Amino acid sequence: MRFPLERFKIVGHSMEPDFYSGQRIIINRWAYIFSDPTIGDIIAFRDRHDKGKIALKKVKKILDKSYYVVGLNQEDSQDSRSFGYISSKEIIGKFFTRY
Amino acid sequence: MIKVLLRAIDKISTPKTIYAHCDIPCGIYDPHLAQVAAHTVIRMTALINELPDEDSKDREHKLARYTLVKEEHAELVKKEVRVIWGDYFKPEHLERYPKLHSLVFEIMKLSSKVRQEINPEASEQLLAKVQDFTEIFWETKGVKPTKAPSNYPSGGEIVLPTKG
Repeated sequence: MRFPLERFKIVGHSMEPDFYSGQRIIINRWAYIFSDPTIGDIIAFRDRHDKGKIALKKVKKILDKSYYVVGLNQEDSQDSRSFGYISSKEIIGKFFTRY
Repeated sequence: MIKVLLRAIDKISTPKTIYAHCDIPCGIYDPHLAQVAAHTVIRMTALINELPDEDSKDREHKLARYTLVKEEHAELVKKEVRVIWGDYFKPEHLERYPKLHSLVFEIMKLSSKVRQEINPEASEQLLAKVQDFTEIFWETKGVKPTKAPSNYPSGGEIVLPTKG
């Protein structure tokens, strides 16, 4: 099993004002081993259109094991409003901290 | 201490990229539409003031149309400025232009005022503030802004980006 905490650098403006492009954060990959994401969680998940990419969004709604995610900057965000709900299998972890 | 350590690790091993996807290609911002909308508010205010005083169906009709367009374009000023302010401007821009927040606040208030009233002075003030905002925007992009005659029926000028 891989180390739970992983470093990432943000690209894009859809999570402003809380997260800025260029900011560095840590994602906890073990956050959802014993629990499920809850509304308000900031999560990292695999981009459905490009599996090599990982995206950062906030959970807004939950339907069974599907999650509706949005950017904090909804004026300028590509999120579940365009690509729909994501599944728990696509989620790789939860925002842990900035550094 | 931990942050310093993590930053040091980043220099040895680059962190992965995580995408906060934007809805539109980042970097496509332009306050031009806000200026055109502010000019439209000036024009609609003037047209309302030019209407005859006596009641007629034609006057009522024109008043309704001019008022609607004035409302829509005052709101458009707000939307365009708000998006650039929220999405484009960054903390480093604020350090360079400390009046930016108060300028946006004034634009929001003036946009409401020109909706509420038939006020030529407030409409001109709105355009002036939007042009201040436009000049700051282009300066942050390293582009020299210049004023040119608008050539619109509303008169006045429009701020344009120029080379160099």
